[in-house]
Amino acid sequence: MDINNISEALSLPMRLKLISCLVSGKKTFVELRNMVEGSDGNVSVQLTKLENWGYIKSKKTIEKKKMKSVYELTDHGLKQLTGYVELLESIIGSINEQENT
Amino acid sequence: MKLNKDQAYTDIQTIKKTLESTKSNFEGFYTILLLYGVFRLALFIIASPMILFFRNSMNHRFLPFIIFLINILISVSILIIYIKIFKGEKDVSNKYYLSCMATWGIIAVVLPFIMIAVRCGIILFLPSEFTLGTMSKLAEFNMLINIMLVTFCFIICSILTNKKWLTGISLLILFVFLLLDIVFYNTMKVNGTLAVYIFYNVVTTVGYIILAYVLKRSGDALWI
Repeated sequence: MDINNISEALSLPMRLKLISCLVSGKKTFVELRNMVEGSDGNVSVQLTKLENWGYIKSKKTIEKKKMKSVYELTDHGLKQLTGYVELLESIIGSINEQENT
Repeated sequence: MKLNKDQAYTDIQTIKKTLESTKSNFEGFYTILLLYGVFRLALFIIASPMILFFRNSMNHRFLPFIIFLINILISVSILIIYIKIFKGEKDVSNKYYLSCMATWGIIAVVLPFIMIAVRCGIILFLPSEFTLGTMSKLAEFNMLINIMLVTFCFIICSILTNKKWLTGISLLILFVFLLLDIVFYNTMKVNGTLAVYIFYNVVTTVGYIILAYVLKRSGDALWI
């Protein structure tokens, strides 16, 4: 991942939170909304965008006669997040080095 | 999009906090505790009738060997399951949760193999007149370590689930065990041995199953 070319998917804190939430496994829409503390509309829009970019995938299931959307991180999404964390660590590392010298 | 220093710090904090806050269902620790308790309970259920009913029969010499084989089978199964679960947890858990799981797990999972190695050493290298006494001493140490492990596990779960009564139970277990093992065992001999045997096995089997249940309930409760 290039420092001057960060994916749009990782540019908003809300999207970053949604992707990070899914690292530990599948989550329903309600669980994700509660974790990121966002409104239904905003969370829904961001999830759709992330799905379109291939970061996450969703599946509709029926539980207790109620329809629910379950979201899951794709391999591409996990790879991008890992790459982004590595980039952030290298940036912070180099800044700390500069400050020490 | 370009990154600057402040943004890098903010983003890494966001990711870290989110990862840590989503780690709350204790799925891995729950599974390993449940399986550990169930496997040990199975060993207790299989071994106890064998010891009680067949110890005076002709084939009693083979009993320790059969129990030993079952023990190895169970220990290897637990080791494989533990490694599999720990690998799965490694990428999605924070270091504190992993440290708790590793500190208890490594000792609990590896202890049976250390005991086997020490037993082999005793049989191979000690003169036969010392074997029985040393083996008995080793069995006592094994019981004490396992009781310490279960109490330690109660304290870990107490911290993870924020249930202070689990720490109280852990101290009670230790107190009762020491009371039974030191006071009753030395004064009442046969009855004392049986009491220690039953208490030890119930605590190190049902105790883990109860802990698994508490973890499961606490994990589920966080999502309701």
